[in-house]
Amino acid sequence: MTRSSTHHSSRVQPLSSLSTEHLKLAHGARDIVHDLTVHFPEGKVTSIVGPNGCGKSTLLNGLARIHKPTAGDVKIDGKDIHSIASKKVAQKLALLPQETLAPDGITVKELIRFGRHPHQGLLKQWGMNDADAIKFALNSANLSDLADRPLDTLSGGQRQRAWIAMCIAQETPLLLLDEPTSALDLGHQIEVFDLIRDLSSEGKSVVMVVHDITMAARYSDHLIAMKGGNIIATGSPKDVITQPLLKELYGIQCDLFEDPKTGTPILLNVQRAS
Amino acid sequence: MNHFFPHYQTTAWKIGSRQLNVVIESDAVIRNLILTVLLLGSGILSLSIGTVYVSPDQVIKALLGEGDSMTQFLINDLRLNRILAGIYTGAAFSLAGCLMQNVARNRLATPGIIGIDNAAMAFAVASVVGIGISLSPSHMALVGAATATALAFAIGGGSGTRGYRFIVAGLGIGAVSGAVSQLLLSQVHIDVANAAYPWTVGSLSGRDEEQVPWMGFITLLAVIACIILTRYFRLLSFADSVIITLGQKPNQIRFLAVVISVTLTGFAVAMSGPIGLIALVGPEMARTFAKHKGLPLVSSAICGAILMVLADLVGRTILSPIELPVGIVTAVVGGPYLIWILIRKPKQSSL
Ligand SMILES: Nc1ncnc2c1ncn2[C@@H]1O[C@H](COP(=O)(O)OP(=O)(O)O)[C@@H](O)[C@H]1O
Ligand SMILES: [Mg+2]
Repeated sequence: MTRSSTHHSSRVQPLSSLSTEHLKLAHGARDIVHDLTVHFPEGKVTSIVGPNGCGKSTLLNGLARIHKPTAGDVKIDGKDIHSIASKKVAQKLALLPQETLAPDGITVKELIRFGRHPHQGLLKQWGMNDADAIKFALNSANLSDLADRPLDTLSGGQRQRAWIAMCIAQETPLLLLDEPTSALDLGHQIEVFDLIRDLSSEGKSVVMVVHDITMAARYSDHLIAMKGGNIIATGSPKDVITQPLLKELYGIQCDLFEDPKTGTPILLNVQRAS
Repeated sequence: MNHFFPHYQTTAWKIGSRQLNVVIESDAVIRNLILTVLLLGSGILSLSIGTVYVSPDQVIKALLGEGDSMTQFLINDLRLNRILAGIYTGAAFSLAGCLMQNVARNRLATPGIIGIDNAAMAFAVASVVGIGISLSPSHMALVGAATATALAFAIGGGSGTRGYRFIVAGLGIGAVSGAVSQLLLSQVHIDVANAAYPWTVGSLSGRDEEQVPWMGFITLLAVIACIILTRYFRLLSFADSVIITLGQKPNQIRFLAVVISVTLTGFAVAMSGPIGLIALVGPEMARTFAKHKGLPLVSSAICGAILMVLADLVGRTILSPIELPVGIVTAVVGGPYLIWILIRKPKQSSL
């Protein structure tokens, strides 16, 4: 597959920083994320790994102000997101949730156009940047040929790229992705990961939830390991992924090797820890 | 491969300057113009047919204030008001239906289904049979609509995505309201019950003449509001998390849509009684015209108006000189039509 993103000017946004301070998130009376203070490195790809139900989605939703904290703050460029107008936050931060739902019969291009919503208004329904941003998003996600196809006629991988393209069109320096590759086969996973790397090299800070440790290690600059709503390790993939950590996270034991090409860890002989 | 998916390209007109502009989907404009022509045709047809037949060109002349004064009186003073009432209430029911379906993300969730029509009716009947409330039946219908909505939201668990709970709660409220109406009617003298009858079936003959221009004004306001707000209402087909990510507040958008929907329904029931099927069939017809794309609010309003005018015409003529209430016609004709639509397109059942 040839990627056409090199053939046109990239649309770089200035870097923005994302961090939390003593963040607490709860579902009803149940605390899910406890007192989390973390900084997500600018312009880098950060992956959050951890077992099911440990609070990864809750954290991502908290970062995107979908889930209101019971205590603490989420800060963009040092400012509490709940003190910034929602539309302004939407110009800084985009989220692709774990589960999506789209209007009937919507085409790829129409979906992507919704990403421009935060840049438009009641009396400014079309900005000069909109056409360029949509074109850029279509090209980056390699969807130009599918622009007028209805979303529900696409393959899983194409559909996921269309959703990411909608986030790209939003032109935010921060991009949060909740399990963007979990429903995809290996080929489509690589397609999406490559796209994410491209976005990062253009200056976006990406925070994503990924289940496949080997993939997370290969495609991320920074890893955050979560368990029971707490961060138990952060750092470069090489430093974070150790046998004791994998045992603690997933109750597994395995052999760890170094990928001869990328130098990132690979898991082999995975089995339940005794 | 692309020829497999024709007609998905929409063209839009961008009107205005760099800083101030609006986007108008040309498809929607053309579609609504065609529907408006159909509505005018239905209206003229309905004006010409009655105890005395007046040819369509005579009707148009009379509407423009020309022709002989007898015909002008017949058309403009005797018949026009009823047709206008049909247009306004039909548009109101249907627009209200489309809004509520969009909020609940379920195309069965019209105000009628969730009990608003019935509650408005029960309150109006209560007023007619005189249980000591001094409000007029029309005002009571509005109060009833608001009460039912509040109850449906309270029981259904707020305005979340739990469409089905909301619907089931509404079904219950509708059933109770219907039973209350029957109970009230069974307890009073037959003449009083007769006076309350139009409220229970839905009819354009029992309307209050003074209210017709008001109904028109409110319907027009709602249509304009919907044109302006479509940009936000359309977001409701996304998950809440996506709406928030795009910088909007889903509950605020839902609240606005529900307020417009309930107000329209309340006023429409106050004028014509419950004709809930228009709220199901009107939007369905609009979506068919719109090829199941987007949120055809204006088209829903026009389709509802066409349906109401034609149903009233059928009701007036089919068993002439006996007049069938329009609510019965819509039930007899609209019911099967709806079933046909629902079984014909099982794929598009997500809204
Ligand atoms: N809407 C909700 N209401 C109540 N509890 C929830 C809700 N969503 C998630 N939870 C609970 O919060 C915990 C964390 O969930 P989640 O953040 O989705 O985990 P992850 O994404 O890491 O799998 C789980 O125990 C889950 O049961
Ligand atoms: Mg999750």
